[in-house]
Amino acid sequence: MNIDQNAYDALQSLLGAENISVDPAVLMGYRFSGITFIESLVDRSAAFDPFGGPKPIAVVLPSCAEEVQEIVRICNRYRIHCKAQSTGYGGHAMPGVENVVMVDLRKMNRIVEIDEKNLYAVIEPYVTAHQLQSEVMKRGMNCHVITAGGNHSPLASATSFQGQGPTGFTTSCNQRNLLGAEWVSPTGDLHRIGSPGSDAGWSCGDGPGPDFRGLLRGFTGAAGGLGIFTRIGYKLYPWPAKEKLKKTGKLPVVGVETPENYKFHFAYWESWDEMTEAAYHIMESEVAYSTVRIPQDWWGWFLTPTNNEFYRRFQDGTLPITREHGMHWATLIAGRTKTDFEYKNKVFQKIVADTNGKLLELPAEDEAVLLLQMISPMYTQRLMRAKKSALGMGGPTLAQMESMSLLKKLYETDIDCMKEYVKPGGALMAAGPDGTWAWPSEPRKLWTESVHFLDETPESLAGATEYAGKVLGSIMKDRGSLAFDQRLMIGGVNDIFGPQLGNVQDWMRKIKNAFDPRNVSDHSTYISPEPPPPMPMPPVPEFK
Amino acid sequence: MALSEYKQNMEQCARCSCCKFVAPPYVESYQYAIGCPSIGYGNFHAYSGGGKVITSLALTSGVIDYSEEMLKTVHACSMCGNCAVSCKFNYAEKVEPLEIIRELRCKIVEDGQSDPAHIQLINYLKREDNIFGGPKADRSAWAEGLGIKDALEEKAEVLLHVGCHYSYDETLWPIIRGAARLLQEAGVDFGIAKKEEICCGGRAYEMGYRQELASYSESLKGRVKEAGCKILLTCCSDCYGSFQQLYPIAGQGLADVEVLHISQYLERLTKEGKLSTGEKVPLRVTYHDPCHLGRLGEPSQPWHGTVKKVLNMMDVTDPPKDVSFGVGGVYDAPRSVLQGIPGVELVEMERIKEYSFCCGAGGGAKEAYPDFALKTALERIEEARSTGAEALVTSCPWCVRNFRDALEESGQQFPVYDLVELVLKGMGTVKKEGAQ
Amino acid sequence: MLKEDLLKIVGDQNVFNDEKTLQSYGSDESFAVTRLPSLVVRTNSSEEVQRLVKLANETRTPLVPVSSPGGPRRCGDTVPSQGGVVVDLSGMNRILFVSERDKVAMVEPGVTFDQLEAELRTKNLRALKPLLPRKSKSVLTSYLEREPIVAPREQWDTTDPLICVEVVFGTGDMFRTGSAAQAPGSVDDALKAGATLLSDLGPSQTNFSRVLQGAQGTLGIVTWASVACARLPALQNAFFVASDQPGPLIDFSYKLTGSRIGDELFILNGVSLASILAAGPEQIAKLSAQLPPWILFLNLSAPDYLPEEKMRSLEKETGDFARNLGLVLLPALAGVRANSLMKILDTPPEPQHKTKLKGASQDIFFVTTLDRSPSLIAQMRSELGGHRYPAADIGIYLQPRVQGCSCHCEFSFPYDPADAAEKESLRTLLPAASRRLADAGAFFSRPYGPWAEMVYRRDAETTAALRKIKTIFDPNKILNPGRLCY
Repeated sequence: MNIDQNAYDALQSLLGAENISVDPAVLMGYRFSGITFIESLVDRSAAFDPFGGPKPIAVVLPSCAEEVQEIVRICNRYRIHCKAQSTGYGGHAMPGVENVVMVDLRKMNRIVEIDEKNLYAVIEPYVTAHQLQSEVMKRGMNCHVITAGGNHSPLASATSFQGQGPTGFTTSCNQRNLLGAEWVSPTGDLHRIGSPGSDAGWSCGDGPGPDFRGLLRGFTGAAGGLGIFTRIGYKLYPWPAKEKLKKTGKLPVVGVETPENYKFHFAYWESWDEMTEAAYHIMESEVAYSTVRIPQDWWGWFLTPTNNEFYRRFQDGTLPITREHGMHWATLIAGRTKTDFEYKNKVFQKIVADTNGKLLELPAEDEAVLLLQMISPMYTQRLMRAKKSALGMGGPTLAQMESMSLLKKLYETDIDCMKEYVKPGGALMAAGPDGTWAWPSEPRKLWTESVHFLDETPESLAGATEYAGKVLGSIMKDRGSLAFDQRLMIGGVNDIFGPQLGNVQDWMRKIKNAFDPRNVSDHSTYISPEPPPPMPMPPVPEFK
Repeated sequence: MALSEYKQNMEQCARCSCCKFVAPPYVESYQYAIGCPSIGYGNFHAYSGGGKVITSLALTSGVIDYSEEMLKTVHACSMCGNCAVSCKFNYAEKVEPLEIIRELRCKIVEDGQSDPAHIQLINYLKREDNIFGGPKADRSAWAEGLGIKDALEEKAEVLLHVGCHYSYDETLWPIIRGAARLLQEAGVDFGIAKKEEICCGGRAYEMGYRQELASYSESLKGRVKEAGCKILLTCCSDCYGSFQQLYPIAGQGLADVEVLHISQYLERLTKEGKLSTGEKVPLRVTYHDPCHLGRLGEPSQPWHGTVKKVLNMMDVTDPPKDVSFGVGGVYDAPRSVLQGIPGVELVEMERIKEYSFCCGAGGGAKEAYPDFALKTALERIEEARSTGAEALVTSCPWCVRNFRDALEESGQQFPVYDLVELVLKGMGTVKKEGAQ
Repeated sequence: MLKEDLLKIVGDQNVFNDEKTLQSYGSDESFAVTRLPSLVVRTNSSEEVQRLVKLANETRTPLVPVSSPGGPRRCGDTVPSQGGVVVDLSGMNRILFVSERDKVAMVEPGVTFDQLEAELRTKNLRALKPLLPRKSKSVLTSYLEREPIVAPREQWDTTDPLICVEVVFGTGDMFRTGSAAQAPGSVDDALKAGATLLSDLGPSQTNFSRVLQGAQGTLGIVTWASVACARLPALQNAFFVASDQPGPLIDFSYKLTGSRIGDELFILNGVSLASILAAGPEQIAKLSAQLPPWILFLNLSAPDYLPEEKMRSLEKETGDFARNLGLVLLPALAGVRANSLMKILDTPPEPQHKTKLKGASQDIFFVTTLDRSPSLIAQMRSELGGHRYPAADIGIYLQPRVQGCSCHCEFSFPYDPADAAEKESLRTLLPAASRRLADAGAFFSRPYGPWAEMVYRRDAETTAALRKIKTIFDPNKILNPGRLCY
């Protein structure tokens, strides 16, 4: 499908020839799906075809919100879909419908303001978390960096997708870090949400009256499927270290020196109950800066430069973290002062001792590497070195933001669902040995998700689908404590699972039609204007 | 490996955009986080390393064909290898964007889609054995009056391979002549191939001319053998990178000879007490790591093998691939030489060593898209200024030329030195020829 | 809507149309125009609320939800501007669930702070409260209306302490938000299984908890909510910090929020603190004269983990902050211990402090940042020059919110309800000052009464968006019509 010539002329006239392209090769960069998400399993027959999705008809590079507005208006005028992306990381960032103009927000990349007193930054879409973190740390602050890695767009994460990072204990999650926002609606209107709408700065996202943000994003965002965010106020957090982080090691096994009044601990327990008990105490005492559990084998991926080296050491048993350390909290203690540090460190160690935990002494160079991952993670990408395709990052698994007391249940349920598939020759990767990630999000609740790798083969896909079915079956039997992975509730998935969640799809459809009457925003990651034919929700769904 | 043989690698691109930035752990600021000059120039994703991987996959899958714009995304790229360093931080050998881009360019040439500017360079090369089109006979005109022996006629311990740029860019002759004077001063037994010196073939390969690399590497290796030298010394980072990374690809690895860059040799001579820089040079400088001396100068061997699956599906290479992460480039030697000059204060830029930002001159980009080279150079100069340095020092004729061109074209002033020039200053021997 | 139909839903004893009852809902302490409802109904369950809303849709009858079991109501938002039926939810006052471990409670709309606090104390917990709510204040309403809590470190996001809600939208549809949506059947089953309704996010790509906040009951009627609570500290110690100007205290507050130190934390001017601490007008005047112009209140607490050591560390650190700014941590001021104020905050007395001086009070409040507040205070002072209201009587309250990202700024204007002239002067002063403040960058995020017109006129796009929201959740404009931009 080609773009209407009049629409092209209008866009070119607006942006200049260098900021619009209809070249097939250029467009491929906006069609290629690096990571396949759940729709790939459900909707697309060619789940692993990187060019399987619809091809955009043009890509444009606006420089400001006014240009974004005009692009959207042109799309309305010519009945063309549009979809914005920032760094474009993830299949959800690609078009899901035909006849779509991709709006690459790369040129909108300014850190507009960093407010040290009021702990927020005003950022545009193409500012990356690494860029922001590097700047705010110079000023004694930190920002939430999600596990996807610091090359993601915090604006995209906070407005349009979702994001949990290992510093969630002290930096919450990106769904809750959005302050004031500037949003171009699917009809091209410019909304300044919260205090910016009253020309009163960017520190406040609520009001006047109802909090409009709740309409535009929930557990996850519309992933570009409902208007375009062009600027936000973004919450920052205190960062106690006084000095600049000093890197150690060499690429790709890079770490940081432990800052003064910081300490990394790798504490482990022999039972989930004791580990959970410890988590409650850590949350209650607030002694951690960040505390994380990932499948124990996977830490080795950070400590080794290649898969070959990982596998060699995995088999040799020379990786410092082994299967006896499964129930662990890798924890960073960060003191503002020596006294504060000593208090936190002492309490943490007491908690570990009181809950029958142990502290694992790691080689200094390994500790430095893990310390960096506790501060500025690149988890998802390093894990994708092992295998790019994964459930969790690309399909239904167990995920929950709820009571810490559910950790054991979620873990055991996942183990139960996965055990068949991680045997030799199985459909999922035999490393982990489980897939459970967990950490406290704020010192109040558990964030956990399970991640499982699968191969790009029909056999692996079939097995992974079976696993996903078992997960969904477990959820259906035990609703409330187990939950649908709401991170992946985007697009058509809402019409499948929405009826189990208060018919949320119906409300989203009303929002879609109220704010996007011409269906201009690519609805594939939000909701279609009209309901699809009924899609029954079986206890074990049948994926294609 | 032909481009199509990289299909599995191409499919592994997660489109994470790391390739656009400096290697993740080394993002130190908002301003200098960008690592890829090509995306900085063209902005569309296709300009990035990952974008070119996608283009390669689309092309080999038959999803796209050639177009002017597609070729521009490929050729407005200095092949600096930042994308590879940043990608490999997480993905190691899984994607190999630089290898793919090199193969993409070879395919472009094979398919008759070369950039006209590149064709011109290759025509020069074929005619005169250099890409500047200067007469073969003038190859060693720079050395007139220096009394350097002909290494092919007379045995020398060190064969100084000058490279095309120094041979034919008269404005750079003070540097190469200065280097020769330094070697003489240190009593080094060295010679040059005089008019028999030929292009290393590296730039041609980066432009996609695989055959030219094959033939020139074979010839050059033959000359090295003929000279019977122990050390192959070059002042050109491009040539150095070719010897270390590209010659093994062409099956012409120079294992029988020690390959050194002038910065390494100057460091050695200084340590051995054969050179001494006693003259004070009160100057705060910053050092620009040339890509081909740094990450692209890391010795590496091509890998031939298969990918096996372990733990049900984790990819491992068999035999294990020796992955080039860029850390084995020449980084310490030039800094050591600089810091050995009394009065010189070295202040670092943010983007250094394996995550250095390119000057913009490489890969035939300057010839095909001079505006790209200009923009990239100016960005780097701005970073150099931001350190508070009074001058930028580098160790590559391509970088020096491009920086000076960019300054002249933009009407700016900022001293740019080659390392050799500062050493000459430090020795107090620079009077007429050594300075800018 | 016919009374008979209502009786079928809520029963005989829960429908009222006697004059006294109607009058008690027909006005409040704001300057809102008095208008009596036609009926008052008291509901006892979510199902009754749902049936009521459906009936109201059929009959196009305005419904005005009211949750607090008693007054005085102050903001005008529950006065039925277009008549209709007041839905009194105060009878739905069960505390459905408390998780001591997860520090969360599940409350119905009629649960008051007094009631919740009493229950929580038995479980080693305490409520996250606004500044001295009246005893009859509905917890749920306070949180839905985004009243600032006095412990900003506990507020990570503006939604806090509200988490999940069950709501009957204006369409009559029932919906659950956040992790409560994951248990579409029996919430009890989910609770038994271990979920404690801790996440406000979702379901899916929505967060209607947010949308309902600040809506003044115009989009839906919330029938229960899970709310975050805090652990009772093992140790706590409160301090005053005094200054002639707000600036140094603001700097001090930034040091605290920039380090996540301190629990209860706010700044008052002298008369405001005096109104809290003293019993009546004369005592307030006397104490006010003894107090410095500006006072920061800070309560430090330590959890049950080496609490003495923690407290020593906190006191040392905060003391250093203060000293560096030329300030002093004071255990007492004018003979009143800061710990006494903490006790008052824990168990707010009646009558409310704002009414002690003259019997009644009107407020202007908005959101800003602490560093901008001195200029807004100056704007207010400047505006006063053109009016006859005594500047010395104005209470000023600066409450950092959302861990210090922004600040609730509140001016209280005590007045004698019997003094017509003073009342009249306020009628002129309040809108003029509000406009002036808005012009200067004050953000009226909770636009009650006449503020609504002022705010929405300035922000046409938000207004248009909010009207679309109304058509989604309450297409027949049943719920509390006449409020906000509806």
